[in-house]
Amino acid sequence: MSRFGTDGVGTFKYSTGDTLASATTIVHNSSQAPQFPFDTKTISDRVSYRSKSGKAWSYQNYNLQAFGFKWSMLDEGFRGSLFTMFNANPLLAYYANGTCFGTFRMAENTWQDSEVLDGLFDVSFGVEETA
Amino acid sequence: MSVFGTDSNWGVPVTIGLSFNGTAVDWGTANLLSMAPLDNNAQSVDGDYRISNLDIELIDTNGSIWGSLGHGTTAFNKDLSATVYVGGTMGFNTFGPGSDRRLALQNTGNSATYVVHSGKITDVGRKDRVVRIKSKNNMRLLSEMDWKFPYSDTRTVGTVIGSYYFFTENLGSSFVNSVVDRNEDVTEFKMYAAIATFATTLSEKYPPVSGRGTMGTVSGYTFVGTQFYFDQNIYSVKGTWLQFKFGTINTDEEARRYGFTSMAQAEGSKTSGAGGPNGTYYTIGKSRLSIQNGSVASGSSFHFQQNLTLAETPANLFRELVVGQCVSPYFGTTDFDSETFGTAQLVTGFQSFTYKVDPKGGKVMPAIKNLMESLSAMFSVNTLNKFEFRPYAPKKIRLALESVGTSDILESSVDNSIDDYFNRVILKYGYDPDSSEFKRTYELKAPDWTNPLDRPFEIESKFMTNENEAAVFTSRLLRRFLKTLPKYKVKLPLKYSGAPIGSLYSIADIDLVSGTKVLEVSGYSKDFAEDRSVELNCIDAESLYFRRGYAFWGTKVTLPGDTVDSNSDSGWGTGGTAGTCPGINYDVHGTSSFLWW
Repeated sequence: MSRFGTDGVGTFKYSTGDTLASATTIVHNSSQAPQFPFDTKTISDRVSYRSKSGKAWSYQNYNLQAFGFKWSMLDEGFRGSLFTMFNANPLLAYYANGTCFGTFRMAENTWQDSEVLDGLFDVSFGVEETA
Repeated sequence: MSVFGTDSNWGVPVTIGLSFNGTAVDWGTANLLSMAPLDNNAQSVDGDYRISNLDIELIDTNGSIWGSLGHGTTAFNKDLSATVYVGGTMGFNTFGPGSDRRLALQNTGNSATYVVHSGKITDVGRKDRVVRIKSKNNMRLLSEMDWKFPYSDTRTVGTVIGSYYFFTENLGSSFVNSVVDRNEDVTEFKMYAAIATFATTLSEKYPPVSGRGTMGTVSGYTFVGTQFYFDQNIYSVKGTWLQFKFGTINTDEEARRYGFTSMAQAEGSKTSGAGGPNGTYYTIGKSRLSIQNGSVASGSSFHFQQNLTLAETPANLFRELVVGQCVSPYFGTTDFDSETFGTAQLVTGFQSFTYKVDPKGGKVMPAIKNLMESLSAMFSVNTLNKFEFRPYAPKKIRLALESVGTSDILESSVDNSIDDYFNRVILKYGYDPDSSEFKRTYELKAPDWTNPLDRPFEIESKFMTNENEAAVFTSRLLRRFLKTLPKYKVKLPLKYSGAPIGSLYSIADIDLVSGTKVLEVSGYSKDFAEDRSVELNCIDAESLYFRRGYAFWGTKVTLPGDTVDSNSDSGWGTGGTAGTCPGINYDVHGTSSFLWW
């Protein structure tokens, strides 16, 4: 079973205020996004050095996950909702299959879209864990 | 739980602890977005001293940090300090839909702790829910200090005629310590004066700030409380002593210039002497003052500003320039690093500096810079916001020093330039502020100096007056410049976060030195947020101090340490080789065994 369950429904909740209490909600399901490849990667603030004689030094405070959404054939309305969310640069939560994946912020400069058919878009963007 | 020390080659956490207005706040651990590298510097010669900044950005989602700063209105001059924790106690946190485990910092227990900045807030801002705070150390405040002069108690205006104020005494003689720009017989002079309408004495109305030195005052004058300088305007006053008026007064206007209300009144003081040696003359016996930039009423009190001359050993003089009554009261004696100040007192104990303060007043910092140049001193503010002052003088470098080898050194380089080479040192000293001239010059050339290869280094000291001191100083500088000082840059891991300016390390790195060499830290850049490393700017301490002779300042001061002999490393001691240095102020010329070599 996918991380999104059997129905492929996911929910973004975001707010441009200071909390998620009065969040805007964007729900997407498989009919809106027939394909949703979902990349995960780890981002880290690790700085590593090797001294002149070979000793390693490494400093790291966090090791966070970043998710990349890559949808095909999104309808125009859903694409617009996502674009509004991305530009708001909010704190957001992502839920799927009844589970909150964590609290995220939009990954900078990751939004890409193209209109592949009339009114249908391929869209990709990324989110990163906040802590 | 696992403890990560600074030597671990795992991912060692680096966290910042901040203290705002004397209270620890959790902004650094929970909210820190960025922190610019911390730079500090202590130039030894050119007087270009660095104000060390802390520049941080904090994520302030709900506005609480901005609220602590009074929404940008109340933060200024409040203390901000930063402590870096390298390492700490780690444990596993769960996260995500699969309850995965992640190693994360639990607390800063067992970490190496370094105070890296203490200062006062100078700038705040907020944008996109990010608060930016800048804090600067005491070097900034030092540059804002003004001179504060002592004042005489009072002289009440006698007669006011037009824009002239008459006194029945020669003020130029009565207040000889206030007179500036005078002629030879003190009949034409200038003074600075506060003019008040109260009758009480200054020291009662404006009691001096307690606990501060009183260097420079003379009898009849007093340092007054700082409120005085805000309450009173200081006027430039032109004075003339009128003993006699020779010739005939022909108009009322002319009579008023000499303190008479009319020509008729002047007749009472007239001595007719046609045919005598002086002809006709009038006996006056008054001082006439005219205010250059204002006017006062009859009955006002003149408080004359005393010319300030500070004379002491250099370290004590420096202390007075920072915490004395003669400057703005921004600092106290606890703002000095006691260890370096104590050493500075010892190594300059044989010198006597004199500084005449410009009676026009102004900022103190130019004088402090010139004092540092006159000692070729390293001057900086440390991470506890205390002044450190290191005159160029013998220094013990054969201590049990921390060794730094290539297992710690990440990058290193050494550079030198002819810009650091000088074969002729010219010291101008004996400054006369009245004529703005240096009355004396001491010059020393290298033995192999030739005109085509001349590289002169010139210093102007407004503090030095003694030729023997000039001889010692130029000799030290020439020896130091002939050998030159290569500049070393050493990039190190964060276990060196605490390295202060002036610290010594024994370096072993074939790129830099043959074998080992002692380097002295003269500046640094420490980055805890991005690059996470420490870059030390160092100078060759062995070239600076090693086998430069042994200093023994006769009976002036008692110095701890070893016995002195010709094989001694640099340093100082309680006894010297018999007959070599009976008293530096008198016998330094030709006493080669005394000089640094």
